[in-house]
Amino acid sequence: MAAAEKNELLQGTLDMLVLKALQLGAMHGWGITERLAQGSRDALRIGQGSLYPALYRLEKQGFIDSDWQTTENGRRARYYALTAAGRKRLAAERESWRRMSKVVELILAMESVP
Amino acid sequence: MSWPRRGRREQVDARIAEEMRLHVEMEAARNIERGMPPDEARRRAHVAFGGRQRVMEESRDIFRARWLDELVADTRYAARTLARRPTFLIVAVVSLGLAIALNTTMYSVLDALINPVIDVRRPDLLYRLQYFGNARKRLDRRAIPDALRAAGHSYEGVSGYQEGAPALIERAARATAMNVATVRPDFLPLLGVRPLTGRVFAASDIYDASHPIVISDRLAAKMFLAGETPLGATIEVNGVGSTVIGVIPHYGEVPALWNDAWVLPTVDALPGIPLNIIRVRDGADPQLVHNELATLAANLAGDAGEVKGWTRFYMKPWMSTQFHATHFHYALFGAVLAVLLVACANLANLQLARGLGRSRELAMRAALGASRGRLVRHMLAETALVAAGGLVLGVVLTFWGVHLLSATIPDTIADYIVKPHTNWRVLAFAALTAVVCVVLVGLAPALRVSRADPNELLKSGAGTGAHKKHTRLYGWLVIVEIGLALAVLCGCSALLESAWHLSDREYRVKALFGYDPDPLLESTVSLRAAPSTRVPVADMAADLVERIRSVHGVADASVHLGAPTENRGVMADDGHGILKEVPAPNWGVVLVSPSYFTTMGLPIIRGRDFAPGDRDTRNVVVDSLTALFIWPHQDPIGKLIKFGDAKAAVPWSRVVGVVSDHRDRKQYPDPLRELPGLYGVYRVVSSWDSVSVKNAKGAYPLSVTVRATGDAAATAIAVHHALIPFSTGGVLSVSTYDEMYRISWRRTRSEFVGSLFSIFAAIGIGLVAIGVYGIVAHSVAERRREIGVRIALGATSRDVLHAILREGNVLALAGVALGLYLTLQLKGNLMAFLDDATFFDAPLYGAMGVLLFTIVIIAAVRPALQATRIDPAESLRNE
Repeated sequence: MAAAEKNELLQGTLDMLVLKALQLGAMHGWGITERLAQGSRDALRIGQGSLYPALYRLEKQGFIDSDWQTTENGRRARYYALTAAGRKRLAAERESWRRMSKVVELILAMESVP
Repeated sequence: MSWPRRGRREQVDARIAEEMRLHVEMEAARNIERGMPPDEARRRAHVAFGGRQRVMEESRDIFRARWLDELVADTRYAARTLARRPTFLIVAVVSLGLAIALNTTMYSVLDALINPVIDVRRPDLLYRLQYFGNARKRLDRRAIPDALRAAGHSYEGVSGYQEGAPALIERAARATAMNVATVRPDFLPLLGVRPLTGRVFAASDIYDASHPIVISDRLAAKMFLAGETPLGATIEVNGVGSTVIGVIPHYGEVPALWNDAWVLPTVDALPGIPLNIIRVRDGADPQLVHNELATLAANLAGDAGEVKGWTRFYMKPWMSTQFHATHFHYALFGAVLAVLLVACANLANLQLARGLGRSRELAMRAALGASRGRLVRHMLAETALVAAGGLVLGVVLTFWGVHLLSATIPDTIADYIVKPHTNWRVLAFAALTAVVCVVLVGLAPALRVSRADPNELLKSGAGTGAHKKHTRLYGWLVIVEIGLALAVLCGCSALLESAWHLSDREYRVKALFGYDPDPLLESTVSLRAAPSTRVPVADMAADLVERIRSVHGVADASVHLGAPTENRGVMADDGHGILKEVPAPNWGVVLVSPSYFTTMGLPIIRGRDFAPGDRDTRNVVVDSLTALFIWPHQDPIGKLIKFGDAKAAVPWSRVVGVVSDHRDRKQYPDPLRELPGLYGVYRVVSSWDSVSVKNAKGAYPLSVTVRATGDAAATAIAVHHALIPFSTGGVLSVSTYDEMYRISWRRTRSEFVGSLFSIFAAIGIGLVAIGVYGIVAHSVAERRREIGVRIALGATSRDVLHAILREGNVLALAGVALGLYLTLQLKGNLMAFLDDATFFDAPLYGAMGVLLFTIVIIAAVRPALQATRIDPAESLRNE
């Protein structure tokens, strides 16, 4: 049960990170992991495979859109792009993340009462 | 978005796999860039990606979940909505179930006709062989059969049979007349029919003096009791004792097997039996068979010294007798289809009424973000659930209906409407019907209702969305329902009336025949006579009549035959020397025994009947129709007539009597203007009359009419027996008028179809009543406030009732009009069962119209009465 809750939390976070990565422009799956790795200065290590179910879920929910395109190397790749709903969603998630992290920070900063 | 909508798994899998492969390749390429050896780079890329199988599974689930989730959600929602209205649910499921069951049961009948179960080995490889050319005459009789047998590489064998002729079959006290075909010994084995008991013929049977015979199961059932075995029993076929060696099934649709007994020819007669069946080898190219036969034909033509190209063989599929839908099937299917349409219209109406009532709910959901497609899907899901329920009920009822139908189809019409059976096609048909129902019932109202503008609906506050346009749609549906139900009802009443007519002796005599057909028999016999060109017929006829008169159970007998005449025209003399030529292309004179009219029971209406002394005179009796046509408004007695134009040297005949006409009045409504094309002038057969005798088969067949004292069918057997010595083995048949004109048969058919129609009509009317009740009740609920205001303003119950029923009256009247129109359109299909007098029975249809109208009004009155009891205060407070 605890593990499941943890996954869910991670999943929510991963969705936000993916949306953020796509805010910079349309990208294929591998490109997204690269962006996340660069952005976190290689500190974030997600199982690369778990990116894909997240992408499909976001697409199903209508936050991102996908299409077959050609990479600069001439390979066919599925490119993902943010939709309008996705941009709104990212803004909302970001806002709630800020609030949440502030709250968490406040709680963690509590000093013990003697 | 290009989501694969339906779970096309392969497509989804391919997409995921391609993305994963690309990912790993790109990761590996980056690793190589960073200086790793290729193998290591690839390994690391795989590790970084993680468990592929798990990713694949997870991704697939996401794709699958979308529509599945929605489907489950829609279905649940629909189920909840339906459960809230159990009455609607039950009415809907039961009416659809009944309609589906009716259609599927009828389809099972058609299916049994279209796809008969025939136990014949590979009937698709059987062909009818036809031979053209006259090499046969120039060659030895065995040359062609031998050549055909020797040649066959592409075919398994060739054989043939001679089509059956009616023969008298007797065993102990039982006797019947059935068709007996003569077959070559290898015919039945080649045809590949499996005997039910015993065996079929073998080559040596042709020398067997005990006359082996193979009989049909149908004949066996007639001649043998349930416990008796036919094998080895002796039956007499036209007086020849024959030993039963096997029983095979009777198949009404398979050539040769549509007979009831099969015998072998004598050794001498064998070459005369045609070669008309060929069995092609399995897998042989039909073209190859054609080529082989063409080569054979060319060789035969060469042997006969014939100009090349005359002799030919042709092949046609043996089972070419395809099922043709008759009026009977159209009428039955039309009726059940009408019931289905009534059920669909009914449901559409109820859905529509409910949908309109729910417009606000739908508008609310639309406003909350449900797409129009989603709303339509919800309503469709509801219909689909109802249809699924209807399908289940329908299939259960079909099994029951097929069982019931098999048990009730009268034996006499079993060839026409075979016993149905259930199979996968029948079930597929039921499913298809249910799908059609979903489309017919669900789609139109769902689209219509979902199109309502949410803003409008929400703004209108108390509005219910019952716009005029919608009201009009369900008005139309009610009209169609009533119309279809009335057409079925009229069909039903006409059929039952016709059955009643046919069973009414007086009606038969007066309106259909002009005489009583019950005690009459008709026989056709080729008289035994030495082959020559022409043979005097008067003495032969007199002998024959004397012989038949002596048969037990015969009251009277007479002979009649059409005389060949030089009839370029007919001259009539009005008795004062004024001649007139009457064009009469089909005319001749009918030669009869003096007792012809008494045998037939035709009354003489003027002058006198023939007497024995009229033989060898030129006295004629004409029928009333002919008299009216030739001598309109004159007394025909004493007038002269001759069969030939003015110059022809043909003797004049004198009219001595006028006999009541018994021709089909349907065909000749106006004898003064239209020429009756049949013989209507009778003369006693005299010593100068002759018939041609072409070959050993005997003379031109004579027709014999016999009046029985008691049971006509039993007398027919006795007469048949008595005629055997006179016949040459050519045509010999005896049938009752009842069989000939299929009177009992038609009555049974009308009764059977009429009772089926009465079931259809009852269901249709029930549905209409339910539908009308539902619509009016709904309309009352809609107008609750309006009615409340009216009552508050002083409207009486009468006024309210009027206001509600007025609308219904118009719809019901329009429906009745449509129904009567449809009935007239159905004329073509129903005429096959009915005679004119029955069909144009306007009072009957009028009565049915009034009946249906009354039922509709009664159905409408109850909810309308409820409307009068609306408490104005309460109805206004509720708003």
